[in-house]
Amino acid sequence: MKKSLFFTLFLLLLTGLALAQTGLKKRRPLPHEYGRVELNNFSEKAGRAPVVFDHWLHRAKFTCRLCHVDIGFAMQAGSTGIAAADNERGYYCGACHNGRTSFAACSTKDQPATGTCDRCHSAGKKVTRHYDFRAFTEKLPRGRFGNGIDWEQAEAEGSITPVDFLAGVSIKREALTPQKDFDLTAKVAGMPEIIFSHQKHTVWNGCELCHPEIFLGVKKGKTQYSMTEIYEGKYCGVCHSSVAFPLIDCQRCHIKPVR
Amino acid sequence: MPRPSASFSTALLLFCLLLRPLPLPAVEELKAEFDAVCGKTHNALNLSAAEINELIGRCDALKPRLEKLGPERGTERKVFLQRLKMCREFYAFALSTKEENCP
Ligand code: HEC
Ligand code: HEC
Ligand code: HEC
Ligand code: HEC
Ligand code: HEC
Ligand code: HEC
Repeated sequence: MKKSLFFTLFLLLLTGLALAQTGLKKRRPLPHEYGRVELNNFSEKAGRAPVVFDHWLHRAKFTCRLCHVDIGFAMQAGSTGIAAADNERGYYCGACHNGRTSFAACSTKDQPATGTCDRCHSAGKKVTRHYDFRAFTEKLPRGRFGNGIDWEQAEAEGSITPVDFLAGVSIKREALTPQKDFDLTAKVAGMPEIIFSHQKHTVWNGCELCHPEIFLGVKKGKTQYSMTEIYEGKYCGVCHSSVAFPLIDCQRCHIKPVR
Repeated sequence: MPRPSASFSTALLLFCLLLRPLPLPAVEELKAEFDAVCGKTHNALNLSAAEINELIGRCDALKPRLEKLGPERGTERKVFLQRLKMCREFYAFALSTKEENCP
């Protein structure tokens, strides 16, 4: 009884700290901005506006695995080094934005001043989006933070059906062998267990996205990591601070396992 | 010298084309090898250590071939070296879990 009261207070305190921390660094992104990546390694130098990429639209249509394993986008903004020529040759954004799957990406030959270029090269410009966040997400189940959408639920109830295979890019694979599920045992006494579905995460992300880059530990519980490191954007924090539901949603990870 | 007839030249040309081994374009061949080697990551835990070792060996053999791709294939070089790295490292991880479990 006392212990759980202590824990609740502790959790509240930490939440406060977490909020204060994010508040100091930068304002919390609005729902439509959560998961937005701005790319400007080359654009402005070449006289184009920086590129705005939104996760909310793309993740509703494709799995993380498809883009981050099969297409090969890095898990850190700006670090893939996507160039106009790469897109034009049908890689990176151009794997889909090729004029067939979706509207075409860069052209290094002719440089039309068309609106198509601006659909991506849109930072700081007044570009009317074809997909409006409000209209697109209206019917999706609500979440408390991040995009304000419960993406897991959206997928479970079939409101979204992210595609996991892109012809010509993805490797044809045999069916996925299900991974056994486990809860992560908290190392701190009095902490509730942390839920983590290995199986669900594998479907979304694919093994090689997490191992060994994000989770090196070979035996469950061997890698020691703390909430502080997670806040720093390591381990679970790689995804759960910028694209998947954010860390302020403590209870989604720290709940007692159902018995 | 009488000019060889057109049909003779055509036949000769066809003959030469047939004799020539028909290699897949280099990049396509590398991609096919990449698919064959890295299409098993999600199933790696069900493979034996020997099988995983063989896959790692093929990754290591593919890497220098990708590195040799010229600047006109710079995109393929970048994309496939990155994908190969992820795949190889995952196999190494899978292998280490095997070794951990059966000392
Ligand atoms: C349509 C492709 C696509 C899909 C689907 C996708 N991503 Fe991304 N993601 C990207 C691109 C592009 C970047 C930017 C990479 C770069 O700049 O080098 C990125 C960046 C990221 C980053 C780094 C963000 C930052 O601010 O540093 C994270 C984390 C991430 N993605 C996680 C995810 C997760 C989790 C999912 C699934 C829910 C997902 N992505 C789905 C394309 C995608
Ligand atoms: C896996 C496929 C895929 C990849 C990779 C991908 N996209 Fe998209 N993107 C789509 C689809 C599908 C749409 C929906 C548009 C449509 O219906 O044609 C879309 C839409 C968009 C839009 C339209 C927004 C609007 O409302 O007008 C932008 C901007 C965009 N993508 C940028 C990017 C950028 C930048 C990249 C690379 C960093 C990228 N996409 C990579 C599939 C992809
Ligand atoms: C689907 C999204 C998308 C569309 C549409 C698009 N681009 Fe790009 N473009 C990118 C991305 C991503 C980059 C790399 C951004 C960065 O880091 O600066 C880029 C970079 C560039 C660059 C920078 C120079 C270089 O070598 O990378 C130029 C120039 C460029 N694009 C021209 C164009 C032109 C012209 C069009 C219209 C015909 C166009 N782009 C349409 C996504 C797009
Ligand atoms: C979202 C990230 C993520 C994905 C995707 C993922 N894992 Fe894991 N995996 C973890 C975490 C977290 C642990 C526990 C690590 C710890 O406690 O240090 C783990 C543990 C493991 C372990 C050790 C388990 C034990 O009981 O000791 C193995 C083996 C493993 N994963 C293999 C895989 C394979 C194979 C796949 C794909 C089929 C996969 N993982 C997909 C995050 C992931
Ligand atoms: C994405 C899942 C996730 C979310 C969201 C999350 N945590 Fe954690 N938390 C973890 C994991 C994983 C650990 C490490 C467990 C271990 O190995 O002991 C942890 C550990 C902790 C610990 C133990 C001490 C320490 O530093 O390791 C505390 C306290 C904690 N979290 C508080 C919070 C609070 C408060 C929030 C909300 C602001 C929160 N957590 C949100 C996953 C999460
Ligand atoms: C590679 C990206 C990635 C990493 C790393 C990751 N997650 Fe997730 N996680 C996701 C995505 C994507 C979802 C789907 C829901 C969403 O996007 O909000 C999700 C959903 C969840 C859920 C709800 C579904 C479930 O599993 O029951 C929990 C809880 C969760 N994550 C905990 C964790 C914990 C704890 C860790 C670290 C041990 C972790 N995640 C690491 C991407 C990731």
